[in-house]
Amino acid sequence: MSVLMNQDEFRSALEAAIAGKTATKSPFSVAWANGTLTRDHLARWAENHYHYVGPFADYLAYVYARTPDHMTDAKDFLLANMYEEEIGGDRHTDLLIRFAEACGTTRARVTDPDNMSPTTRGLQSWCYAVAMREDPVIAVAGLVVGLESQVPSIYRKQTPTLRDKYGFSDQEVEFFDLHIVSDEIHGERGYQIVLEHATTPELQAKCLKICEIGAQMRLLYTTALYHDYVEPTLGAAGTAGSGDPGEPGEPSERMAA
Amino acid sequence: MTQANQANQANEWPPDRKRGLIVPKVVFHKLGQRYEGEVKDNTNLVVRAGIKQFPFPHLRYGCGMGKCSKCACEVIAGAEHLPPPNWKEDKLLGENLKRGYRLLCQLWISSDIELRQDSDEVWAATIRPAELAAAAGAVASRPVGAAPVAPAPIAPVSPGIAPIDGA
Repeated sequence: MSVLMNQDEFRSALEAAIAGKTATKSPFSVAWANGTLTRDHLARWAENHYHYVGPFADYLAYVYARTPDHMTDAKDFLLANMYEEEIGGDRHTDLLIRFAEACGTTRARVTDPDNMSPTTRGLQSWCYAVAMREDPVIAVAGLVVGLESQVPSIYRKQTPTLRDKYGFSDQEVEFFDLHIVSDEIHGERGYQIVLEHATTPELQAKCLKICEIGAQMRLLYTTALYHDYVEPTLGAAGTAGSGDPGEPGEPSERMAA
Repeated sequence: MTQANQANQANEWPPDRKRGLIVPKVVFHKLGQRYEGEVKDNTNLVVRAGIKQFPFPHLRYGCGMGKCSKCACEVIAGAEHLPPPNWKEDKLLGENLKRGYRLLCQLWISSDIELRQDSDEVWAATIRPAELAAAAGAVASRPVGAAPVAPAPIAPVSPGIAPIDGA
């Protein structure tokens, strides 16, 4: 029979559920960190990433609407996250598009849902399903703890690489800089909600499971980016790609520095 | 009991303290009051305030992304342990950097530090103009077709309610 964990034990268990399945281990993230992607690969990433993170406030809004009124702190945290994603400063997706344009693609291509891979569509759909169907505490565990809280550690590694190995300017990679701060706040808020409100062994178990699944989904998504866009371009020189993603009608004038 | 002590009692000690590792001590001055707390190594104080832990509710902050200057603080002690200002601090603080100001949202604290934050009125008169000038400069120099850069709105000060505005 399951036993209710105290908050320290439960937090450790949540972190363990994510560890080992973090997206930093995906081949795309490894290639990114090694500086072996081209700007075209990064453009494809941005075109996909937009459709995963773009609706994040939408996901949270569904969770917010279904969170009971007595969970005031949790609702306020969710509302704050939504506000910060959209209008707290620069809209996060606008900064993503700025990076995408620096990679050589266009706003129109980024916002066009036809340019996301089937796996990205699957991740987006999973996020919507979790937000709409799961207990709000479980949804926060999946979406915020399982997915969003991973972002700071990922971008902390990737941002210096974008500057140093790929030659992007500070302004071009601002999307990544801001997420190191804002997603750390959001991730911690998520942990607080889950730690405080998962008050039965069954609820804790479900939070752990969905956290694990969320991390798996992100890993699946990132790994698919490698298979879909990088592998087909692997060159004889052993670099991650030649820069041609094989999609018609797309710009490819700017390659990796 | 001071408000800082109450805040510390309300929150558990950071895990690093339990392990006996680095525990930076933060002294925070605001409106003539002194608040003190300990944080985990490599802590961003805006992140802490964002989850309602010390220096919440005393720390004023805004966007959390180096786009406004609301979290600007004068570093009274411990500045030598901080990394050099990044491009966002250079842009938003300008000459205020020389006066010892830093943007807390851009700093991860790993050693003891003493900070002072101006009142809203002083901030609006001394720090905010540099931010507005930076935003205006960004608009003037942005490339054709680029999205305009608007200055961050001034949100009402309402601790615990406004989603990204501390005290």
